[in-house]
Amino acid sequence: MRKKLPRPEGHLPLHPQVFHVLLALGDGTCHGYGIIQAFEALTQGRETLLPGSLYGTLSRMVNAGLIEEVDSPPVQTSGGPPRRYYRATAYGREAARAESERMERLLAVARARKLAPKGVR
Amino acid sequence: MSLAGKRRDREGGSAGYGGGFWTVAYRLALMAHPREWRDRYLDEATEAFAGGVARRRSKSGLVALRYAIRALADAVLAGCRERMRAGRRAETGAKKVGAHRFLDTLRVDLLYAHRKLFKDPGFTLPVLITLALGIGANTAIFTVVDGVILKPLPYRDADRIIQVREIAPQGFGFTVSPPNFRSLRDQARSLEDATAYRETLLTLTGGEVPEAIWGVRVSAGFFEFLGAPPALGRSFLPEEDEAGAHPTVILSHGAWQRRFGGSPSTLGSTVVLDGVSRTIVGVLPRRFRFAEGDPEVWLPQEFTERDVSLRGRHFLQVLARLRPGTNLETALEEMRTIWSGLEEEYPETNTGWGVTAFPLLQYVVGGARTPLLVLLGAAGLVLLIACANVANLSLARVERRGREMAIRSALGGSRTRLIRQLLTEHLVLGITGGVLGLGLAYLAVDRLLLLFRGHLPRADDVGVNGAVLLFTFIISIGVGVLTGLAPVVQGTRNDLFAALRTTVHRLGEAWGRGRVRGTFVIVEVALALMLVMGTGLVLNSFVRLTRVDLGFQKENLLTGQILLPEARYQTAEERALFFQTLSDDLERHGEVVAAAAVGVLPLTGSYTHVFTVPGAPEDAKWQAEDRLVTPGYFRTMRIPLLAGRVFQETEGAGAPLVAVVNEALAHQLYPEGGAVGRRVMFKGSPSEESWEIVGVVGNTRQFGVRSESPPTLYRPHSQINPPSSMAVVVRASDSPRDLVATLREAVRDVDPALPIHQLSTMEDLVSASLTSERVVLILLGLFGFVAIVLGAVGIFGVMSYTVSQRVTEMGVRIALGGAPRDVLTMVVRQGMTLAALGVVLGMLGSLALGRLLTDVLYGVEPADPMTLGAVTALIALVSLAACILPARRAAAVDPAESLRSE
Repeated sequence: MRKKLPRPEGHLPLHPQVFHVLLALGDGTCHGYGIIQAFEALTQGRETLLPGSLYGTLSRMVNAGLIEEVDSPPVQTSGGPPRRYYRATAYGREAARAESERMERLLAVARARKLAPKGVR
Repeated sequence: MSLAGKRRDREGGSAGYGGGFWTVAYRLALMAHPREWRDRYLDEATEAFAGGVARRRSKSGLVALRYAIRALADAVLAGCRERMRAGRRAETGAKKVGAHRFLDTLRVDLLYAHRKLFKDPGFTLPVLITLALGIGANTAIFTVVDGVILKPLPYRDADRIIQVREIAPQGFGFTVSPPNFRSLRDQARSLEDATAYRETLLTLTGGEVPEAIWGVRVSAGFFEFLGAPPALGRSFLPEEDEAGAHPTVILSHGAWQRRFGGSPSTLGSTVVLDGVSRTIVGVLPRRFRFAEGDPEVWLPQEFTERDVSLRGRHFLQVLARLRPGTNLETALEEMRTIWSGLEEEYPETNTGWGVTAFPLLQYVVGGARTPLLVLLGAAGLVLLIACANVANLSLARVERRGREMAIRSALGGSRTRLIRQLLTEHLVLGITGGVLGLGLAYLAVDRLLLLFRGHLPRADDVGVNGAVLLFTFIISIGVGVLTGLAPVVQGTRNDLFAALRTTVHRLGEAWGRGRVRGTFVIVEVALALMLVMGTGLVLNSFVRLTRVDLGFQKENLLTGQILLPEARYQTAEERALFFQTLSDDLERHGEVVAAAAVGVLPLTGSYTHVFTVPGAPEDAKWQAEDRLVTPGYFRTMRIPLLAGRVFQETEGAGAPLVAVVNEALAHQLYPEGGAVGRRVMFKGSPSEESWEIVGVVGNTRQFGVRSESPPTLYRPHSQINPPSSMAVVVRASDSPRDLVATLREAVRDVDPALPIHQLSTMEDLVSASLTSERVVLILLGLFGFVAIVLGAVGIFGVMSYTVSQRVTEMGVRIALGGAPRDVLTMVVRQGMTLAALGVVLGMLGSLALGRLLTDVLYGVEPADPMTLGAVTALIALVSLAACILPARRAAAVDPAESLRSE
């Protein structure tokens, strides 16, 4: 019943939260809380995802085909509530790549305008 | 992919992340999300939140706090967005259930209202300030009213506890004599139980200096009666009601903590009170409160043979509990029967004595009730004025938004929907004002209690609680509805064309609107006048009270209470000698003008005696305040001598018995004059000797500043059995405070083991007796001021608005040759017409409500014409000032400019 998806570039610019989720997921499988932890670890705690808005975003990302729910969780490790597990689809990873390219192009502009931070290659 | 099918079992899901404050708050915040979302994600999101807080807490509390606040805000906002999405989906797709839809619309309304209000701080800020002040004042006063008047007393079945008092033949309430108390307890069927107590001053020795403390003597079973048995140790035993039992004492929790460090081994140790060593047998519960001044020690009654046999000696306070199902009236009837029985049986002591009873709460609250209710009423008036002002501001705002409203209805917004939107905005304002007001009240209550300086009963029970929150919530909603009605009616009946036309000038219409707003102004002025009138009356009374001729010179007087322990001062001679020596010693000091002692200080209480005069009919008798004084008393107090002479130093025991009466008593006994040289006799006293009246002195207020001077009789303290407690009065040549050390020293020289109780200047005593009047005056003054300011702002607002709506008309008038002066007069006349209507309405209101003030007023009629005149003039002046500014603007209109804008 999946509808025909638009080209990944159609999603650009990605909402930061969507981009962050895709970054956190990478090519692994993770639940919402895990996504938050992974993202905080990846950014050394400088960025965070807030749970109040995260789950709605996840639900919309599933609808948009950017991620998918994994039906049976591999192993329920800790004693928290039952969790949903997510994995980025190939389509989602494509969208993330497109977003990175877009950012890269913007970064190039910034560099040309001397607006990029020093020490960036 | 259908997600709905994947709803998982959430049973037990909430384990694992506990229920800390933040988690609970977060779950509440997540309620902003639609049901569907919560079913799916509530537990997961809460877990993630709790984990986030925990990770940050390990770094620093502040970081965790910042995260928690951000996450809460995120949850609420995301929830609202989620709902709006859900709402949009629902509108385009399936139908929704009614209640669900209602909530969603409410949410949208709320969101929209917040956005609108935030965007218009010029409107929102003044409104919120006004409402916060109005609701805050009401909440603060209500908090006090709730704690003092409404909350039940903290005793077992407190609603059935009554205070029983005897009624003296002269008609005033009196304490009960022990034999009468026993008759009551044994005979009354309508009472479940009765108990007695009496407050007493005690001297505690054993420390470095002797110390004066408050105590209460109570009957056995007293604490059980109140439902507060000692937390430690035991209560008093029935045999301790009689003198001769081993002396015991029970400590208040405070005294136990302060004096014994709360050690459990305190039980069984001893304290020396009034020279008697007493064994500590119990400690009261921490929360137990009874009587004013928080007594430290509780003693058994230890009635002497004399106490229980003399029916004429009244000194007990009596509490009784009604049987369930019995009302006060029935009990009173039975008590009256008992008392008439006593009267027949013991005519010598009980003739003319009656009995009365009232709920204990009423007795405890006493005179505090009326002033508090007056203040609550005044606060209510302030809130009404505030509401009228806000409604007016809001009307103006609705008109500014006329186009928005019109467009919304042109695009199909239903009238109900618009009304809902406007009402929601006002409810948001009301509730926000309520929350702010609650905060203000929370801060204000303590300061309010400080104003009373310890003269408010049950001050300990005052605090913000559920009842207060409910009260604030209800008035907040009420304020929202009240301020919203007019704008709703006005805002939603806009006709489309008029509103969509771009020019603002609509001459006739402006008048129509002006009428509604004018009505608000009239009401505001009327309410303000009523409030200021009340303030004026109270001010007037207060000035009169401070100018009352007390009958003595209160300046430069130092007073203190001295209690001679009976163990060391057993004979009348010893007691008489002590006070005489002390007075004489004090007078030898350079700064002391005069010094004396008296049984009961003026303004502080009552001690009466029944007497008769030789030759009067058998059953004729009189009653007067009986004051035992040292000879220098009249000189020290500067009570004027009107006839005859005062006591001489030589008139002690053994000399012929003499008395001095005050003018009131002299007039009562001998209306034609000639009291000097007559004699009086005291009934029931052991010796029925007669006392010669040697002088008549001026009246002095005995019961308080407000009460008229009672008939009073003075006798030399050395000619009768002087009480073991007397008040010392010292007149200073300069500030009486400088004499405190001198007084202490003088007492120490005569007896080093005696403390001085209640050391105070006479002026402070007088001032303290007017505390509740002062508080009422301060608060009414504050409310009156706010009322005037709000009223002025109201008039100013309406006149400015009218002028701005009629700029064109003014321009035309001036262009056609009207003098700017005429325009000015016209505007002022209009404004003052509103004010005048308000004043008339306010006068009528004052006359109608004035009698509610009767109890707090002194020497002023509620309809006092002087006060009414002054208040009216003040309101008129302020109204005029509020009209002038807009009027000047109207007169300054440039005709060319105003017509060009057309």
